[in-house]
Amino acid sequence: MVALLQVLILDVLITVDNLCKSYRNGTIKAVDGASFTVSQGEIFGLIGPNGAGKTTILGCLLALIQPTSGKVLIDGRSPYDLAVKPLIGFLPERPCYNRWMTIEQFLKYQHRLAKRPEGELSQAIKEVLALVELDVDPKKRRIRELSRGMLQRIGLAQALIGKPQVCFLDEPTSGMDPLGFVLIRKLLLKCKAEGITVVLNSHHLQEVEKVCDRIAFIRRGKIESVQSVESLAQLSQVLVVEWQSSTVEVDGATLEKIARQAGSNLIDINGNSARFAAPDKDVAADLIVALTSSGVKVYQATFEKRELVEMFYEGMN
Amino acid sequence: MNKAIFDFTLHEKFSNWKLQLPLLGFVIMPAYMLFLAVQSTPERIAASASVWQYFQSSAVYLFYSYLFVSDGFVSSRPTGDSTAMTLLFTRPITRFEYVMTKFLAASLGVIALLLPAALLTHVVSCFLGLPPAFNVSVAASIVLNSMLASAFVVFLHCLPGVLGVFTFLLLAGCAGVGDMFASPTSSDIPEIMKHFAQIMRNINFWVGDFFCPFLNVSELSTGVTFDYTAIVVYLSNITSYLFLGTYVLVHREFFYANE
Repeated sequence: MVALLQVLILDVLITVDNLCKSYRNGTIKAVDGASFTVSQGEIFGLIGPNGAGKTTILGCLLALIQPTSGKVLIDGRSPYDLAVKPLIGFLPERPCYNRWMTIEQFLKYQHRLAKRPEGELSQAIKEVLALVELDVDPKKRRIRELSRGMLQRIGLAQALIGKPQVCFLDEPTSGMDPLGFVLIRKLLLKCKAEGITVVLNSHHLQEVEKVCDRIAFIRRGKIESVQSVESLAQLSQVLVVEWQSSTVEVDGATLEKIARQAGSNLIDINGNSARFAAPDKDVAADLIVALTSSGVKVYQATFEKRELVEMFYEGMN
Repeated sequence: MNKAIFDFTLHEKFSNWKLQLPLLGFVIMPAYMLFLAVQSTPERIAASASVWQYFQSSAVYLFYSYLFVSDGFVSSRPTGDSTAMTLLFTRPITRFEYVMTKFLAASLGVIALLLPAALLTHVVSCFLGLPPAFNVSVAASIVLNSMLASAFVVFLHCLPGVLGVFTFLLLAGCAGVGDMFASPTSSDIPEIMKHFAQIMRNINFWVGDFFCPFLNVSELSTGVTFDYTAIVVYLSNITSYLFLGTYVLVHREFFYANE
């Protein structure tokens, strides 16, 4: 009932509720009480270290792995429901496809497996190949002749050939060159524009940051935090201030006092530079003014480039 | 039945040039064996009978069935079948539909190899002036036993990981070696090997009689009383393998990242 209300009112397409997956009589918990929802048209990222449980969650969403407990719903139905399957497109992490097939044969096979109308076949193949920007002859090139990056593009093409409403992409940029990264970003944004929901599992945090609406950080099978990328960007920044040697004595206590007055905190000092926690740009500006007013000859102040994962940890703490 | 999987299963084997030559070899092999056997011994009838045993060998049916059931057979990378299945089961296909389709395709594939092979052997047999050994009963036996072996191999194919492949190799290997030692030409084997041969023959008998009992239509049709038990065992075996295969697939988990 709640799931139905979520689908109707909140436009929720995927619901994962207290999902658990354990092995060896519960001694190994691959997923431990994961809960999140994904709305229609949203790009949702799953990030976390190796063995965190991302792929297991994806496996449960695809009905490839049976949860020990908890609930997974796609469009209000179990992922085991055959009616859910036509809504799904899936890019596996390892592209082990039918190597003897030509690209055309492979896509034709996937199109037929997706039970799409035969009349759409040639148009659908043309469309997906154009989407993944694969400029090869699909009738002549065989899957075994393709490079890793090309295989990844073929994987994306087969994921999209069934015209899915939700795409599960496991490491989509794996083995791709920088142009491939750009392509994935373009594709994901196109999916978003067309209202296709995407669940993305990736280690490339910068890529995740650029395209995702929300991100779930998973560690040891638990979802530690689900945050929007916007809210992450607003997390406390680190301002690195450098100054010239001056007559004013610049010690930790002095800097800490100045920082507190400006609404900031001193993190550490390293010679003639120090790192301050600055919640926003206004505080950073106030801090620079306060430092120069106190006689510290500031010649450079920059925001430290920080990794998404680091910001995540900070957000959680 | 899923037409895409059916077409794919057969097309994969018959359209691949790497397999076309061996498949042709499998068709020609019994006829060639007959020709050589008859030339090399004065006991032409006995030699001919031993060659016709080829069409009653569990190992032959198991091997040909595996050839058609396995997705990874023509793949030059030993990834097994799980990856192909993983992608497949994200599509709108039921496990039962998959099992039934694989069973029908594999049955047809095995029949398409063994029936022409038997016909060709019959032609060579007639050419060599031997009494005809091929008839409707032999053809029916080939069709029915191809179906049984295919159902059994589909069940093995549904087992997780290397378990299915290992079980197949063990059973088919034992059956093959058992057949080899059971042949009349192996009477002069060393003493130490005779014990091994006996074990293999026992396993072969067990494998053949328990997992894939050969349904001999000739014996059924010429018997004084009709043996209903053989038919019941045959049908229950096929049904059990297909349902067990479906059951295993329904409960099997696909850890595609661990392949």
